[in-house]
Amino acid sequence: MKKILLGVLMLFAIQFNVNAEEGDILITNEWARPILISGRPGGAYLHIENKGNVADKLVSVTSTISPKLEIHEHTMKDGVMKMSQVDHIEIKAGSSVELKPGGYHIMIFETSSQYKVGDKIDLTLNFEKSGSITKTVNVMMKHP
Amino acid sequence: MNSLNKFNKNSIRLLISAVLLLIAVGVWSTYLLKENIPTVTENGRALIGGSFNLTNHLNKPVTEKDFSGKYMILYFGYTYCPDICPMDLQILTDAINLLDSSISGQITPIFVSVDPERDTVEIMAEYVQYFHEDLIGLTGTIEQVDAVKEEYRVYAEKADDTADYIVDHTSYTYLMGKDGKFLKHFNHAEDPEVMAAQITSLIN
Repeated sequence: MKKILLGVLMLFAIQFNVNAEEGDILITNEWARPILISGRPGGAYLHIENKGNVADKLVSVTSTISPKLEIHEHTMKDGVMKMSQVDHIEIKAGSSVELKPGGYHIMIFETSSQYKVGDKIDLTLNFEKSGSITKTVNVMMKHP
Repeated sequence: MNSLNKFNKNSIRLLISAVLLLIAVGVWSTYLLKENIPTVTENGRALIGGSFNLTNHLNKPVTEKDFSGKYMILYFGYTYCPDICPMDLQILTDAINLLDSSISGQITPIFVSVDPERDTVEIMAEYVQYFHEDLIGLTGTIEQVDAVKEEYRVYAEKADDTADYIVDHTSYTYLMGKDGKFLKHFNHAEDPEVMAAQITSLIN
């Protein structure tokens, strides 16, 4: 019984710990491009600020609108744009990372709906230390 | 005598120095003047642009002659492109909307697909309507698209062999004159206001 209680307490402590750190990550300026042609992938962008004292990593992104979301980056070499998937994005303590067109971005594949300008989609950002943060994201042609 | 020699030597040295300085300034100013000549544009004129046979988004076959008499502003990309192409097409759209109507009326904005296998005429028709109302979508056979890519010095290759492949590609926007000759290119992520101002200065 003691062990179970201890276990519950530990779980609670872990949960508490995660919640405490969650506030260290601040997501702002989130927006997503519409799916212009059915079946084509979409992109989403946002600003991540790490107000905490330890570095954290965005390790994955999930959503109810798609089973397949990936974190990508663009690199330009000799004028040629190359896009590749990245394993994670590190946000150092006290610093921030901008996901934006032409740089880091979230790719949304196999969407269940062809969402348009004016629609809203949900994105859940999963961080290594701070846990998950869900955002409702406006769909627009460009960032205002 | 000795002092006169010294005087002569000194004046000869001075004279030589002055002549050398004049030559140096002469060469330097020639270079300066040359830099004012748009050599890059001159080179570009010879290299970028040319004839093409493609199909527009209304399923009509077109060549470069169909666009002569108006300026063309062309962007090469593909509709599957999730990030770069919609960004640059939006910038192109914004820039044209910023232009005085007397100038924008002289320009045909064109989106050329570098992914003819997936970008059918129907797909192009659906895609271009999301951007500028005047935007013309062009696609064609693989051979036709390869030919126009070569004419405009566009690099675009499939990055992988999967069904939802990505295309690595150069992301430039080209402004061509009424004669179809190259005027200027704009880089990826250009500021629409800067683009509009530069278009205005070149067309006015």
